Amino acid sequence: MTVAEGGNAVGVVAAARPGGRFDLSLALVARPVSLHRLADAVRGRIGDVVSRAGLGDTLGQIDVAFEDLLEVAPDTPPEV
Amino acid sequence: MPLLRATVRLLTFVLLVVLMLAGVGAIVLAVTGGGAGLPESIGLPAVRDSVGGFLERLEAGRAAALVGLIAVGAVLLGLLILIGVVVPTRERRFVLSEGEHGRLAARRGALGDVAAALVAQPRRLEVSKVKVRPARRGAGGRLALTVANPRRAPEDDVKARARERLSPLTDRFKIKARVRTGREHGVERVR
Repeated sequence: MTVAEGGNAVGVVAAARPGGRFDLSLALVARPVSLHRLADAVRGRIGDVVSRAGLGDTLGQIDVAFEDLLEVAPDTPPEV
Repeated sequence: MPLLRATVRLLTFVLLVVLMLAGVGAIVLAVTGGGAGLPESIGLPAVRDSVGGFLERLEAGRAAALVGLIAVGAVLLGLLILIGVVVPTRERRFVLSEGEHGRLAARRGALGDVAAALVAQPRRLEVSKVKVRPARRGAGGRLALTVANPRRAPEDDVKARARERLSPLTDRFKIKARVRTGREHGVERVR
């Protein structure tokens, strides 16, 4: 969790790097899908948000990884 | 590197325990030791008498080789501990692809769970053990999976079915899979 302006950002970790850059880690919950399709969706959304904020030139690489596999109940609402 | 880190953790723990015991001992001796000083209470004069001969030989330069060996060993040990503490480690992951946009990967635990689910999901195969090891660099890695074979089906058939179910994963992540059955280990039903 990261303390952000206006409240806490759950599932987000921000770490400062040398040179004034930042690493952002987002913990997302997704259904079992193709990692390529998931990465395209995540990169697309992040790219849109960053462009709208006028920071498109500063965006670096976006790594996407399966961190864990959770067994959920059948009536669990869909995510992502 | 994992060995170094484990050594550093063990040494740190042992040193902290020794420090704690020394502190407790010093407190107990200070409270109950009567008129005797701390060195006398813990027997330091006897230690001095027993190592006095060695120290005299050392002063005379007759144990230079042994001292040099110990010093070099201590320096090497210190360097190894420093490396274990200072050098950062990056968790090895199974890499699906890596390019200018970033890297797609999976943690070893998640990939092991996916492998077990792939083999077990259509039922009739029961996975008892999964071990995964990503490659040190880039894509690839190894996966060892043990399948229980309680119905005593032909082992080659069981292995072939498991490999076939794993193939969507192992092909894309370039993983070498090794499948064994429970009977190979003398286990009728592991779980």
